[in-house]
Amino acid sequence: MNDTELDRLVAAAAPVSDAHLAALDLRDADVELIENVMSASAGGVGPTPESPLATPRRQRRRRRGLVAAAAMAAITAAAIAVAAVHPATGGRHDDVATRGENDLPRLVADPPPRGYPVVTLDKHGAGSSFWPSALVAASGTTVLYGDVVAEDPTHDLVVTAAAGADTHELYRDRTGPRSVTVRGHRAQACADGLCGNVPGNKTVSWDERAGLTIILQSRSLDLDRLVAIADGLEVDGDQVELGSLPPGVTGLDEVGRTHQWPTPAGGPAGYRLTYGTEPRPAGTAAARELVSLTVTPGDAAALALRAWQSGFGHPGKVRGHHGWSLIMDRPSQGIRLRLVWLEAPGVLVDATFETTALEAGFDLSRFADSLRPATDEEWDTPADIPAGHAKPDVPATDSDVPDTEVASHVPKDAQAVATTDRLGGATYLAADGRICGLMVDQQGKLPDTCGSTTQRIHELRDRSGDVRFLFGTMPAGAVAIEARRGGVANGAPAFQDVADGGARIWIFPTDIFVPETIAFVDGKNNPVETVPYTP
Amino acid sequence: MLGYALRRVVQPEDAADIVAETMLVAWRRIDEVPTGSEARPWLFGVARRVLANGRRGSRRRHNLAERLRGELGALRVPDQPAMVETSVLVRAALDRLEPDDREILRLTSWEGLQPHEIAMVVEMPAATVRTHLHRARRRLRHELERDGLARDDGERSAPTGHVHRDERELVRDAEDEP
Repeated sequence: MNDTELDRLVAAAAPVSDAHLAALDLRDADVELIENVMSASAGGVGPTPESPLATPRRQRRRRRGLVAAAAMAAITAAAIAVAAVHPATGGRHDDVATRGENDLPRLVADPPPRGYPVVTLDKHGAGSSFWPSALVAASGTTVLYGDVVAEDPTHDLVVTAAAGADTHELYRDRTGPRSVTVRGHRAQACADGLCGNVPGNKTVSWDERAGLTIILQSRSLDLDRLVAIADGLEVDGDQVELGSLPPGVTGLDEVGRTHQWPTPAGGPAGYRLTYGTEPRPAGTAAARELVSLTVTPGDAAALALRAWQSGFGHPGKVRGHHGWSLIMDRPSQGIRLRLVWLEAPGVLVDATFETTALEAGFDLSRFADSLRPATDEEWDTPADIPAGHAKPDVPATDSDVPDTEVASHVPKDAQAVATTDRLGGATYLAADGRICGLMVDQQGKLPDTCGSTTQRIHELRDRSGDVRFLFGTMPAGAVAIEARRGGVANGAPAFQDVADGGARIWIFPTDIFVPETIAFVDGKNNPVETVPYTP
Repeated sequence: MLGYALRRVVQPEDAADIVAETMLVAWRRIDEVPTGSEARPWLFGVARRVLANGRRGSRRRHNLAERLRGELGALRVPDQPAMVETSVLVRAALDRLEPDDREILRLTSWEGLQPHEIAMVVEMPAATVRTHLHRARRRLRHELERDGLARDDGERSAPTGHVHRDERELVRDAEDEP
């Protein structure tokens, strides 16, 4: 048997041939999958308006949120109360000019996040990533116009006039930029939907003169209108104001301006405290997960600018203060989940969870709620702040327990089994028709918890009595669950079908996200039944 | 992509999750996706890692792919009667190979990839892939021979020359590697 004959023999043994695939009519499923995937992430170039894949923006945003949830991208605002943000009403430059670095509250998490020891404390610089890369070393003013703080802006405009802006950063990795002429100057423009890493953003920028770069950005206005607005600008020294607007462009009232930018010598005034997991071996999906707490001078306009730059988020309350929960999904940079809020007048706080692993998660809301003023001793020796750990009497049950081991404890006559890939949990439909949960930790298997399939939510507790999993049976017609708290979906449930058309069983780890409601949804994400959960 | 996934999962509907996850990764890393013919092996490489992760965390479900999962749930592909026994034996023989050898053979025969494309999927130098492929074929022949599938006449007359030629190709290919 020569190589060719051998290859043919192997090819013929394929479980599914290309001919079988070709016979499948999967066009609709294909289109829906691609649509969902494209709607799920801000990465890359989005569908064009002409594309049959284009969907209403709000629907895309909703789906993006769902995927972020499915990816266990943990971000929660404790009490999301959707309310419009009016930066101008918060007072322009309120306290910012007078609040110096030393006036900023020194915050630490208490208790420290479990498994995330302090990695660094940079007391004299908030770090570059807090600001757009193009403006890290710049100084100037950004003015916000229109509805920049809307979730779906229809007439937003951000105008930056700065010295030292690195406009190359605005177009890095984007298609183009293209060259246009603005006010007699050669300008760069970008309209591919992710200029400056702001989803949906279009940008035009040029050097008005030596030492003054002007950047216009918008998520709602097209590039032609941006150029027309740019042509009408009134420039007086370093002051840039809107002039005559092109026909059809209305509602561009100034709603705020911010100019607390970094000093040229260092990063923005303020500090950054970073917690992180232990580094992972090279080649793993995520080198490590980081949680950073950045505190800088800032006002409502700076807060609004952060929200606008994210491109996806919800206004809400954080620690009782006005803020935003944001998701920043960047190609090649992973996911950043962010809570940004005004801790006090003139104090802007940014808590960011950064990961490249879809599976990783972190309860930022809990982290924010845990912040308290640091003692002088803690501030002097931050590395000595103890990392949070699992309770001493509860052995770690993390991924040390392989799911194969968990599955080995499931009764052989179980009708269906769903296992989690973390924490050693599983649910199964017992032969007697009850739904059961089992858990394995490093001490071995805990007693099973079983109950009726008519009860939608069951709890599975660890040795210390803490709820580690929720599990149960879905109602007829449901194929997935959405766990929500404060209006935000989150978590990574596992599902499994039951033979003969039985309702699916599900299990949900609660280590990083404890939901207030669980919605059982059908294949189109419509709720079939929603059940409240109170721990 | 769907074929790649379907040929590597037990339950057809699980392939929907593999495809969804792979496409999601590709979409998020759209700047890294190569153009032209290299896109396919690049995607297979992503799918391979998704599969590996899926084995760790089995039965993860994607909301993205519910419809595709539903369609695939009804997919049942019977082997041709004459091929049933042979296919079972060949698959069993494949399962006895080293994982890398097995996957390289599958990528060659099931997905029709060339060694330089397989190199992208399994993240090995192309010369190493060719070495693995050569070794995998030899070991599979041995396994099939034990099962009585490899014909003695062809096995003993043809392979010698093939082996020599393969070895020469290997040397030449290795020299071509940058």
